[in-house]
Amino acid sequence: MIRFEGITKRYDQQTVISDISFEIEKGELVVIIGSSGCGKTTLLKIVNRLIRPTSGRVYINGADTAAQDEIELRRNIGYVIQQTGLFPHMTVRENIEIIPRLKRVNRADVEARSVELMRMVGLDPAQFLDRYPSQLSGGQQQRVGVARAFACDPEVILMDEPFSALDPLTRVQLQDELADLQARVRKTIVFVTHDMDEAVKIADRICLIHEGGVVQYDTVEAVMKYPANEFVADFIGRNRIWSSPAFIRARDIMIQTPVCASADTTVMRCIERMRTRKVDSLLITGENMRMLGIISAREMQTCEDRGVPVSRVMRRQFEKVSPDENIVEVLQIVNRGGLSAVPVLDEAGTVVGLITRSSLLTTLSRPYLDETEAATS
Amino acid sequence: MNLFTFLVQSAGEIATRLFQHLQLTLLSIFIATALGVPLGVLISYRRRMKKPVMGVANVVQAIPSIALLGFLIPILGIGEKPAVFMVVVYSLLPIIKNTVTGLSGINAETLEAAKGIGMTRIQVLTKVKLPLALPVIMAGVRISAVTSVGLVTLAAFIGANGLGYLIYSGIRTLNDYQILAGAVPACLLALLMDFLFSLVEKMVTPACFKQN
Amino acid sequence: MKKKIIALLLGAAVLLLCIGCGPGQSRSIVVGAKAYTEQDILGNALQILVEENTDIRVEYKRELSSNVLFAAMQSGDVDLCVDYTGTVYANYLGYNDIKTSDEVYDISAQELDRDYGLLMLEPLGFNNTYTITVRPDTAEQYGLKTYSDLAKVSQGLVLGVNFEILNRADGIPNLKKTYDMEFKDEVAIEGTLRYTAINSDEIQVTNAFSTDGLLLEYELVVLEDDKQFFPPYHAAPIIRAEAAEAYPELVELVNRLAGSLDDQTMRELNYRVDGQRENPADVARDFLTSRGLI
Repeated sequence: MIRFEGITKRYDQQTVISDISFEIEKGELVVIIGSSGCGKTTLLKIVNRLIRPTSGRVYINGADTAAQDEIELRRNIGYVIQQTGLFPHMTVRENIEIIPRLKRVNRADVEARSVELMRMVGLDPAQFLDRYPSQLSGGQQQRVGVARAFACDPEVILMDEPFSALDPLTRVQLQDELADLQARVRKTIVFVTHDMDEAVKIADRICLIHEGGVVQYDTVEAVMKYPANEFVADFIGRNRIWSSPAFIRARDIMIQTPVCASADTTVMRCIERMRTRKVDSLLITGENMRMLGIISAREMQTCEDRGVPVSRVMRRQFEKVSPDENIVEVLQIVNRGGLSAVPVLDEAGTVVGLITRSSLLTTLSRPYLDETEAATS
Repeated sequence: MNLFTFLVQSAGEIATRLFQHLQLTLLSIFIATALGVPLGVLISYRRRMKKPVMGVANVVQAIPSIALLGFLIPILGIGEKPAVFMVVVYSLLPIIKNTVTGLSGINAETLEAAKGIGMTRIQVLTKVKLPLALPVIMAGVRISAVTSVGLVTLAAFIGANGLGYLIYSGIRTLNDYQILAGAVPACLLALLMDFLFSLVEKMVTPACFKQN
Repeated sequence: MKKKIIALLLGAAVLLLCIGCGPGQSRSIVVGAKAYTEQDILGNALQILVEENTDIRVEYKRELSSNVLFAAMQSGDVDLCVDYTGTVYANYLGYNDIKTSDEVYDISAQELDRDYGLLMLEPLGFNNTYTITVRPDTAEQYGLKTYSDLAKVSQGLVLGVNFEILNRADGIPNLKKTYDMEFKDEVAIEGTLRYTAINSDEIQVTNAFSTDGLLLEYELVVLEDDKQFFPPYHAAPIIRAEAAEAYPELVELVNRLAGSLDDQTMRELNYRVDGQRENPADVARDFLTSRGLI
């Protein structure tokens, strides 16, 4: 949808952006993030040609933006900046309708669209359309800013730190609303911020810029779990993932080599295996590690004939989780069943891992122990 | 003869000269605004033009009015033409200055938003810059309007009509009544101008600034 | 009230100066002059004349207004100046009837001596009065020499004069009655803008003072007031009687200027300063040298 090709921007001798290339997929919300002065806003403004790159090209839908009429280009790209971006001498309605009117869109359509847009951003049209921006709160002003960007129903919307001037509560609220809105409309949104919390909250992908270059461009989860280098890890914060437990999945915390036994192993041998491996339950598997049942140490203690295969006495009904279920769901399952362990099975029912109470404890205590380590080191 | 009978006797003349004075003032302000605002806009776009234009406006301002009239007589003759020219020349500076100030005082982000959402340069000027700068520009016009009333009295030096005739004739012939008959209406006219243009200023102030 | 304050301040200034100079400078007088070119040339001439011919030290006070100068003469702050018979007669003595030149001089001299202790010395020769001038081509075209000539052709000419003479009863209104004149148009034009306007042929007739140097600059033709409508303003030195007693040689010395400056000569001296930007003191010295007075 948007393809950056070898974008470089130099002012005099200072290079702000050097040779950036990446592509933004249609319908994705990509957050360009970096510390101040890293060139992220410059990169954004190169998209709607407010800034002309020293070299390189930007393609939107395959068309070179440099070859298009810049006014037409900008009118087809929504643009939201901090609250001052609204025209103070125009009412909310005039602000939203300015470009459609300049484009000479049919008056009735424009008016109907304004009402629709106001509803979309959660403002009562009757109450707010004829107010001036100064009569609105910061959050309301920013909603109007978003509504204005959507006025011509553009495919691409650029947002330059739109929420940074708002108070924390309003900011979080608008972030949530933007995420909801994006889930409905699936526009291609390029969003610049320096706030990692904000990025995690709204982004499909994150493009982390440092000293004029892309350090990592990937999904939020990937960036958090597999930071490309120390800088990225530092920038996102090593324990950032703990504030987003949805990104911690069963596969990340499971024991990858659980103690198993095949179905025809005798109970006697199973007891022996548990004793030597110091576990209190066994996963019983069939062919290709397909899980057939589970048995605990106590259940085997009550078994009188210890020479029979374990498949006779094992429990065939058991709780399980898939590798992609996140830690919150795992905890719920473990708590609900009062389980000491829960197997992780893939779609075919093959054992891929095991989550025990103690592995959960280890995982959940990591941020605190890490912090202590960091503090003492 | 006392002041009252003098005023009664010359009421017709005072009224005529007051009307002439008003005409000359309004004509001058109109021309000065029509020249000054575009010049101010031009300067705000072409930074290099600022020094020469402001320089000329400043220098012209410093020319004593009588000397200026002296330069103008061979070119424009005597009477209203050079008088209006002089008043326009003296009125330009505050209008140009305020236009430049008004345009440069606009929030840079507002302008970037205007550009970023796809307004052309002309649209940015007419839809955003001028409406936002208008109160400041009108304040300049208002200053010019008030000083113009005074400047127009000088028109009497070169045979133009207006209240200046009464004032200077009164001064030269030591006729206090005549001075008052010219000066008092001129004062009132200046106050009236100030009032009228303050109304215009309020009218053009965008609604959003009025509550503040 | 304002004039009194100015006189007082002036007096105080002179007093301070006297104290500053000390008693060693006992043989000294003060010459005063009004604030225009002609007066400055004449004031300089008096200073040079006295200093070159006597051992009296002269202090020169210039740029005084007419009324301040007269007040200073009475109070003794100024001892010697040049003034005009019409000014003394009308402004200082308060007469407003019309008399001949000689009558005006005689009455002025008598009353200044009697009431103010001031001696009016012999006239310098020129009469710096109001006059009417026309463009040289207009004068040539109609053969204009006098006001009466002008009256015959005035319907085709535009008169541009300053406010004072335009609106004063004894100015243009009465002039028109006396000579039966009517102009195509009458406009008020102030100061030297009149000369610019007449030079540009915006107007053809204007007023002037008869010794104004700018008349030469613009080659304007001064017409003769053949019915003696404008009062006489003959220039004459005036000296304080006390100064004349203290320095008897002064009267004789200043009277050597009598009759030495006719209208044309004074106009030329004024023109050297106004038109050719010469120093008034230099112009005064040249004049005195050329007449063998220094």
